[in-house]
Amino acid sequence: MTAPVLEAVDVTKHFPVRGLIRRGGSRVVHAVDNVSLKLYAGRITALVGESGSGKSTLARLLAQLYPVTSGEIRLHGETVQATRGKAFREHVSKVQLILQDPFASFNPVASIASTLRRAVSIHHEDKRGPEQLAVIDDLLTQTNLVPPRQFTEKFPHELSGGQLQRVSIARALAASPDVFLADEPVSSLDVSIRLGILNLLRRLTEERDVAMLYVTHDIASARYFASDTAVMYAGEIVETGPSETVTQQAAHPYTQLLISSAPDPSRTDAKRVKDIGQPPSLISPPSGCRFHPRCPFALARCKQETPPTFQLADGHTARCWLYADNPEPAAPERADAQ
Amino acid sequence: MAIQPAVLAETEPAEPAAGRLWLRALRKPLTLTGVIITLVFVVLAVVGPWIAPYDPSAVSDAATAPPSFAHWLGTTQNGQDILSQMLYGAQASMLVGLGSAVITTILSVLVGVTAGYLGGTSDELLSLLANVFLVLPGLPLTIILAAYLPHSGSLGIILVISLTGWAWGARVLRAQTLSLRKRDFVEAARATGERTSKIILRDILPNQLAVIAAAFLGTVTAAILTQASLAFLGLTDVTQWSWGTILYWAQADSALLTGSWWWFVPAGLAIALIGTALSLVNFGIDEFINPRLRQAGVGTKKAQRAQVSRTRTKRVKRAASRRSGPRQPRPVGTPFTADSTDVILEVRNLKVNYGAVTAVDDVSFTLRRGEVLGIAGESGSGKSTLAYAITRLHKPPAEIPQGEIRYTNADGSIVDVLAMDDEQLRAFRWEELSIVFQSAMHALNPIMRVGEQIEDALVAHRPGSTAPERAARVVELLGIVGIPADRANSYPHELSGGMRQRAMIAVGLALDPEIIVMDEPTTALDVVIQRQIIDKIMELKDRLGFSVVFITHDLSLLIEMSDTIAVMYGGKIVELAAAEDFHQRPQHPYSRGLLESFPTLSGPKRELSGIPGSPPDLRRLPSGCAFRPRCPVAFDACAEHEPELYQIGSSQAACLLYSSDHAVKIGETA
Amino acid sequence: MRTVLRKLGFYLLTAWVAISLNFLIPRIMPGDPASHLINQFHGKLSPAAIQALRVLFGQPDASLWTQYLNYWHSIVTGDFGISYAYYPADVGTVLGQSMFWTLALITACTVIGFVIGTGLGILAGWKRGTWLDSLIPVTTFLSSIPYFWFAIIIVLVFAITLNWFPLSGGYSVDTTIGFSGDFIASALYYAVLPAATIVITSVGGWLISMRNMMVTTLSEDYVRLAEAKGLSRRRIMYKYAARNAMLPSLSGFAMSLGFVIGGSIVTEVVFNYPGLGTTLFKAAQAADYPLMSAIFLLITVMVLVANLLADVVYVFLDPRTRES
Repeated sequence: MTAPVLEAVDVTKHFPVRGLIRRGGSRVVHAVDNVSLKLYAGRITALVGESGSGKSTLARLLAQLYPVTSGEIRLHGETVQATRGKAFREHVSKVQLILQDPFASFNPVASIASTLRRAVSIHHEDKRGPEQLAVIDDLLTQTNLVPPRQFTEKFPHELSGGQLQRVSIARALAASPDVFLADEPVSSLDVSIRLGILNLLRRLTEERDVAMLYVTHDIASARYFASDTAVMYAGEIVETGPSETVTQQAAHPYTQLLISSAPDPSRTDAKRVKDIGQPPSLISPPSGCRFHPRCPFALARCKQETPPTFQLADGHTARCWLYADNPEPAAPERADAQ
Repeated sequence: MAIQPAVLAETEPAEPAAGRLWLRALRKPLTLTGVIITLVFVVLAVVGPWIAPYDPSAVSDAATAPPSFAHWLGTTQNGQDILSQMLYGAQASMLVGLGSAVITTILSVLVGVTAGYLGGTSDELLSLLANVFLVLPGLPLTIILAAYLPHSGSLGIILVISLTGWAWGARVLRAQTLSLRKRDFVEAARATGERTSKIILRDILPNQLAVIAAAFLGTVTAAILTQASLAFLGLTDVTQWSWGTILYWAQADSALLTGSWWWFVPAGLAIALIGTALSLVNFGIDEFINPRLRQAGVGTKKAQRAQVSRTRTKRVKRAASRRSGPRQPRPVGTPFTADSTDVILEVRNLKVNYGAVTAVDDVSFTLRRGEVLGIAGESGSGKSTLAYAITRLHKPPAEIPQGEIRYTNADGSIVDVLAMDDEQLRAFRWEELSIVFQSAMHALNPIMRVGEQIEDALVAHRPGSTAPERAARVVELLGIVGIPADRANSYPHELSGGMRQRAMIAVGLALDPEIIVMDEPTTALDVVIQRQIIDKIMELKDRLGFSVVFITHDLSLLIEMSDTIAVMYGGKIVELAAAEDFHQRPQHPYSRGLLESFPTLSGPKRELSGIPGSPPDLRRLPSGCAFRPRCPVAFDACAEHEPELYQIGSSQAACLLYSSDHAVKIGETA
Repeated sequence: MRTVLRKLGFYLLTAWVAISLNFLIPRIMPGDPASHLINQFHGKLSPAAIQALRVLFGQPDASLWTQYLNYWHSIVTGDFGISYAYYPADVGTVLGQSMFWTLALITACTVIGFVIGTGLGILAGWKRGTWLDSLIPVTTFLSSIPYFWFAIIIVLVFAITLNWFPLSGGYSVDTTIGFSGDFIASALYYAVLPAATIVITSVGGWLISMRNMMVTTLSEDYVRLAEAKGLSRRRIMYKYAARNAMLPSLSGFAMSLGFVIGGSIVTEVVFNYPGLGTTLFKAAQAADYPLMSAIFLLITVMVLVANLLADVVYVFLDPRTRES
């Protein structure tokens, strides 16, 4: 395996809770805790989690929209601390973020051409006037919005969700980045057009040999779309591995819960992992393993100590005490599910 | 994979661009009046001194004369011409008004946008400053400042007014900037690498123009009023003519007692007129900013009439449905099976229009007792409109020109929900049919306790119940959905998302309805919480025996939980089948395409294709079959004929492939 | 309760700023403040006034800080000096007399105006699209009228032409001040026109803002759910729509209070009503600096207290502000 293009090394991000009057010991939101993730060129990595899991925050840390509290972000092997000014603009020219809601991602009073022109003038400083338009045409063509002139003079609300998301991707392409960070790129779109966008992203990844992070709450799409999958829970990564392995032989009990909760009519067995709890508070997360209050397999140890990441077979890892001695992934019927 | 153009249908602009909306706002009569009057005043302010017939300070013999041909507005005690004074005064007053507004607005924008965008300590300091100035009483402060400034000419007054008036605009702009800053497009601009100054200039400010304009106009009025007050009190240079000065002299020379109404009426009237004009323009801007202000109110007859515009069915039916005496219990139903005929709701040929657009086009289906009917569709399919229409919660401009919604009462009689009058409808609602909305955070009253929101349904429908009875029922309902009883006194914002949704379901169950309509109830929730809630709903359905109409875009979920599935596209039902049949043998090409769009977790991994193109714009539906532009098996006739629902075995599909005229089966096309 | 404490702290801070401003303004003007004032009035001041001013401003060579402390001392002890517009009464006495009238008038008018305006606004919002909408241009016009001018017109029509109400003053001169029925009746009679002026011109603002909030609230999902539950129209209008719509109105109420007080001051002048407004006017005319600054202080404190009360009420009405 070659070196990763962009990686997070043991990254932590805490947000202060804005109290009205600071009591002794200000409280923090533990958005991301000790997370490591690697993104490789030409491969799509999925980051799966529910809302509040920290996945969106991690994406923004990778994009340097916020600074990390501790840990490092490395681009092409070099540490970056580039949340402001020139360093930030340089980082952003290599790492581009695509947001979830296409209708919210565009200034409603600016035309498509006007918005794209801003991106082009930042990343192609040498081009002016008609040359910029040519670049815009090319970007729109690459995202299958043809003929491009049909779209340039329109305003965001005049396009459909799918078209607008393609413009979002075109805007990211203007920077010719090495990494795309797509934060739930299809969650706000109609089901029938999601695949078109996802296939476009996959094509771009392969053709341009860039790294792609696909943040989502839908683990089924991760299976199809990404070569690797990482699962996040309460600010921590609990399982990583090749997508097929993670979805077919899920090791961590949370992943198993996710998979069994997802609607899937083709699943013939009715085995459900029963969930007995609620999403945790990020201000005072549970001690030890953060999933232990909801885990049907919880041991005494899980409450006391946070498990490290255990290596299972073939790049499959899980952060669970169940694997301390035994590298076999646990099937749901191993312990008696309550 | 071949590159496919993303655009398969020509689309015209859906709405005029922001610029053109301004023009539309101007066309409203009130706003236009305001603009015209303002322009008149501005013109007068500019040319006033030139067209004044006399020198305003020139005395003459015609003292205290009422309006005449020589002096259109009469004269003062010294024989000065009031019309000339008014014209000169217009210049001073308008100048002060506009000047103050300009400076105040600049200050407000600087402080407000900076505080809102930068946040942190600078925000706290600036906000404190603004709040202090806001609370200090303006006019007394102005009076005192004016008293200290030497010979307060116009400039002095402008400065004083700006100093005391900037705080309000700053506060409004700060709030707006804060909310704009959180919007995705600002984050997107940052992620592109845009500089802060550019973001403020091109993203934040242009979206605030309406608010800035409204604040500007409001300040003009306030400034003119303040200047008039100061002049009236003699705190400005009384030798410089302004409307307030005219009133000062009128008061000083006892115009009241001499009955010289012409002396003080014009000045005050002028101020009132320009103030009104500017307020009317502001009103137009308000409506522009807040589109909700353009709709008709809930309580109006217009709104009620809009609900059902088709002719009511005969009185006979209505009489039969009027409930008198105690409520009749319905005989207990048997668990639902596919061939049940115990129909509880029958929708026939329902049509819902939004003006010229048909959102629900000739929809018919039946719901049987204990059945779970899943309605699947994407945006523009009409599924939400259908949900609202069934419950008669649709609002203008939606109206129902055609259709029946036949509900089976407990005693077996049938009543048309659309034909009910207010009283019947109120009795029907919640008792027989309840609804669970998508977002509990928005659907629950934020300032009412959760228990009370369950209870008021009980109060409205069970007037004979006592408070302890109702309290017991609330506890019972909360228990049924799995919420601890002590949470009855919580407010919605104190509950977690999943609990809120369950509270909504508890509200829905309050009167033991026969039908519960659920409009995307779990879409905003985690997949794990969603599973909990769906399981709970199914359990309750089995226990209490109600029917469910479940509306969502998540077809996989529907197949798992529904008995029957209806797929909507372009306002019509395009397939209606038992869930298992639908899953194994989807008939309509759209259903097939849709099923293909859901990646599966189990089974082998296969190539997914989705459906090219986008869901149709209801304003411009294609001719013939609405799905034709995206359909992989469309043929010529599809552009000419609209398919009806054809029967294929136990399913129905609206596709010409199944009409008796075209006996081409799937798989045999070239 | 933390929110209430925070608000209290804020208002104390504002009071401090206001008082310090009051102290600073004449002193930071160029030149000796006393001479400055004297010059402004073109030598119209009496020798007694000039002397009082010089005494008040004290020795220019005392440091600013000492003067500031002295100033605070005088405030705490309530010793604002001698008024020379009402010589030889001291400022405290003058204020005490006029404060009562203004307080009574303004409180009553503000409350009445708010209640009427909000009530009509609720109806106008509920029934948007009916004749009630035509109220809006009318009330807009009414609220653009200068208070004092409207006062003049009302006086002309009702006091002079029709002679139904008295022309000026707070009470009939042939009654004695005290809590007798006679006096109260007389006071009320004299208060009708000033009150009418203030109420009529302020109603418009509250009506429009309440109406707009109401219209916005009515399109909220929870109102739709209330309808779906089959609740009575009245309950929906009040319990669901109006109570939610009123919250922003209430916070706006506090802000507009300052404006109302400003307007009523000028109204008092027209009616020669014996409140703080007339006193301020007389003070300004006579360059009675001690009285002016004391009035400003008093008005500021009144507005702050009113704001604080409004904020406290808001906290009670909106449970979302109460959480930890």
